[in-house]
Amino acid sequence: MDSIYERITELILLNAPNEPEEPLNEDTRLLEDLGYDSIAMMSLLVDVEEEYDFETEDMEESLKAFETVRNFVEFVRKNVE
Amino acid sequence: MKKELIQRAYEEIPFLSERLRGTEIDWNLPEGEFEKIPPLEKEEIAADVLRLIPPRYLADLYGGNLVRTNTSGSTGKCLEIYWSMEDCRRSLYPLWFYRKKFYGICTWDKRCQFYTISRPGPEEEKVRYRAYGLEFSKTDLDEERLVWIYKEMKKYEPVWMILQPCIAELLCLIKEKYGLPELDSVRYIEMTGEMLSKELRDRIKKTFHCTVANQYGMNEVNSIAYECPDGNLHCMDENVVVEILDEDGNVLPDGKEGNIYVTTCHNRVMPFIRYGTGDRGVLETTQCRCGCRGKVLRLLSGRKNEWVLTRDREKVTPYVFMRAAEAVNYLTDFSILQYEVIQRDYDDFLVRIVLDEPVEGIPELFVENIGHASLQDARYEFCFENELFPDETGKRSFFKNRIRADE
Repeated sequence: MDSIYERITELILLNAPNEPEEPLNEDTRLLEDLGYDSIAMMSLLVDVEEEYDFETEDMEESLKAFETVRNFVEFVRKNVE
Repeated sequence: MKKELIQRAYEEIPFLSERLRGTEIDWNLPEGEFEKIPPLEKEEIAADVLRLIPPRYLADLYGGNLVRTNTSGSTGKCLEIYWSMEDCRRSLYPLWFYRKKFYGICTWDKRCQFYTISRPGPEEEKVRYRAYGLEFSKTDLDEERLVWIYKEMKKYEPVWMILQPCIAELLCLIKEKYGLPELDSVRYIEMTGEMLSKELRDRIKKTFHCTVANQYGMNEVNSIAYECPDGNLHCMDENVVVEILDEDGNVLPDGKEGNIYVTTCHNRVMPFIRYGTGDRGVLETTQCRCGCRGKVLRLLSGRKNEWVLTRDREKVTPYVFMRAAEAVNYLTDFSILQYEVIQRDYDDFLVRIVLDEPVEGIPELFVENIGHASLQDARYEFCFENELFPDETGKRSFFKNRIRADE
């Protein structure tokens, strides 16, 4: 795994309301497994936007990002590139 | 559109599949196919909300694992609403996204708002402290309490507020009448729950010196449309599909006035599909500078608020009656399906109620839970009906003031 993946998963865990029952992996679901609520979702979004210096314009894309760790990492990668 | 959600709802819920009456639907929903699904009205499920819940969610429902809210509401029609926690959060995300994008408001910004009722009885909370919010009950909103609320707001220093237009009007009134200080911390007010007139919007802006935006939604699907900084109320495409239908259920083209129907993109526990909001409006295709792709919804009628008037000409918000209905439902396992209050004179009211099934003592319970002490002493005539809406005027408000109409 590269440094972006490591950093983003770190941020996902930092913002997660719940401790994961299993080690985080690409299929971990942010809402169901980590208990992400509105505050956590917005907080994570702001964290990655600030850290990677972008501002997402696409609502639908960012909503899909919150489904799994894989989706969220891809979402950030796409906006950084 | 969430085709999978719609298909699954019709496969799992007998009540929905029976409504198709043999009509074959191609669930890939090519153009024109979605319109074959019959529109759904609140009355069809109000007496038995379980009929709209897929069997696989019943264990969660009885286990208390679902989010429960209710609409009691500004349309006078009552309904229990259930969501899974995750779907509810998905559904709320678009609104938070646009609050941040348009107005710089985040989930952790301190806010003030009002609620109708929490728990009726002597232990009812008049104020609730939340992690990022200060919330006030709409009960007993007389001048003394409004001044107290205003001062509490001042101390709390909220960044923004969510207000119903009638509450905002009361706050404007009280600020002006008592020369109360500015709420300097407030930079954004979101209006919701009722029609917002241009006059009132201007008054709120002038009184609070901040940005005002309108948000249109309902508990069944959450946010339906949200106003951008250019003043357009954009449909929340990521959360709902909005259609305008005529009285026969036919889709009307953009620019034509009709009844507003919505389809949830997220609520799998109660999949509201082509569901009537009870409001009227027009969809418009507009190229808006804000970048929002959603069509613009122009609201034409619906939840317009009128005031309850006391003999000394005090203006009281009709939420005092909504509170009474919610309290009765809280205490009697949701017995009121529809209600309407008509003020015939300053101290004379007609209360029309549709019950799920006969329950003793409803009038007494209703009156003792009216959220304004002096109004509890007025005369109330109760009529129990089989059906209330829509009435002959087409108006869907739960409260009507006949005093002004007669004067």
